[in-house]
Amino acid sequence: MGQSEEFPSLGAIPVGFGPEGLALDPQARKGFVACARANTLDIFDLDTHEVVAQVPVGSEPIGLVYDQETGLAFTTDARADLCSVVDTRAHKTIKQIPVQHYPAGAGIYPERRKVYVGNTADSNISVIDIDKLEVIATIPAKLAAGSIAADPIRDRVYCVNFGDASVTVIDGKTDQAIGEIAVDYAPCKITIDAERGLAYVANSLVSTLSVLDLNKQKQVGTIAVERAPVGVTVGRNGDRIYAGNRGAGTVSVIDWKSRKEWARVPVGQAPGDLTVDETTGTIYVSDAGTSTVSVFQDRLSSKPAKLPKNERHPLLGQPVPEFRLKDMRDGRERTSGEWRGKTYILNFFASW
Amino acid sequence: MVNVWEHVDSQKEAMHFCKIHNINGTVLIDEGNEYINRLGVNGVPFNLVVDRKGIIKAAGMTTPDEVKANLMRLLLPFA
Repeated sequence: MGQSEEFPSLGAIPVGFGPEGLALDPQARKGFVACARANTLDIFDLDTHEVVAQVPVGSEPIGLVYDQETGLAFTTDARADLCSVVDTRAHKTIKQIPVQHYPAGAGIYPERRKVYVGNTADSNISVIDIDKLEVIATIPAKLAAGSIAADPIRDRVYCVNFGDASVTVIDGKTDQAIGEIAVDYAPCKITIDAERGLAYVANSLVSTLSVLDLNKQKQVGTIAVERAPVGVTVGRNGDRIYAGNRGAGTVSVIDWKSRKEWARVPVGQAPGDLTVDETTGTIYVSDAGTSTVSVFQDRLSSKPAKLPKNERHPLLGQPVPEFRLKDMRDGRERTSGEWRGKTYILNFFASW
Repeated sequence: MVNVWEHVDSQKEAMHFCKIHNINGTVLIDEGNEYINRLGVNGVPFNLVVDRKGIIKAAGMTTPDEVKANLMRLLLPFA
């Protein structure tokens, strides 16, 4: 991670494989991360950065939300079709609630005591009562429904539909779907700034954030960030928005007033979900590629003289470095020499 | 296609991914992430377009349209 005066790094915490959903309890000084390839909920100390527990949950836990009042964390275990309930004080999974297929997204509405699970393969949402720990409703959404967030001021809940370039709007009291707002391609995450009546959606395929006006119920702006934003969160004072750019290995730092990217902070590889400690302003980022949680602070006081721009990639114009890689299907060694004299695309992907 | 940053059971996870997304072309596994680290790539997805002389003509890109536009440019007879 690059060291800088404006964005001092506080280190990177090694956690279980494939960290995705992240949540904090700033008062208890604990952080929680769903490790999707380790099948655990890891609990770490916000001050010492020590991992104090790795609690087994279901298979491929991706989404994560935390209820301050009960100290319960909820993971959405995508390959198990479950929502695991973890007592973060006892370090134990106390219940696994069956939901629907491939639950990759989560949201919480603590004021109304509800957790929402986005069942991505079924394009619907399971509503869980936090006190009864059971599913109390199912809400139809659109293709590949996932990440969810609640607006307690206007009493609405929002769910991004990854396959529909839209957000489903839900009445917070009745859990009725009341409409959709169009965003852009492959929305991965939504975060809400209820005080300012705004929501931000990370459109991973087009590398932008959509700005939604929660009173007008429509998109009112677009913010360009770096490649493939998968996570988005609002800063402590509401004056910053942060995006985790999975395709670039950076976090975009956005000024909320001008809606412009003011800086990019290099973090671990393939970052995704991120969140802010409201008591210290410190930012925590899940790096799915390096299996760490990167930690940094935002000391940027005003608009920088030099704004980030998409630089010419250092590999451009270079001969492609030789490779010697195993063929997935038959295990034999394949080399770059086999493609000599041909035009081709090398696409790098991860299965998560 | 090159599968990277696979933490556990790389061949199994890559096969699973390709099955779900109906990917039938050549897929290689960067076991231990040696190649992607050598290239200095920090995120996924990431695409390189390589011409007949083995030179990288485009790097980065996320959307299929961006990749296609770069590829089409190279495939034109007068490129």
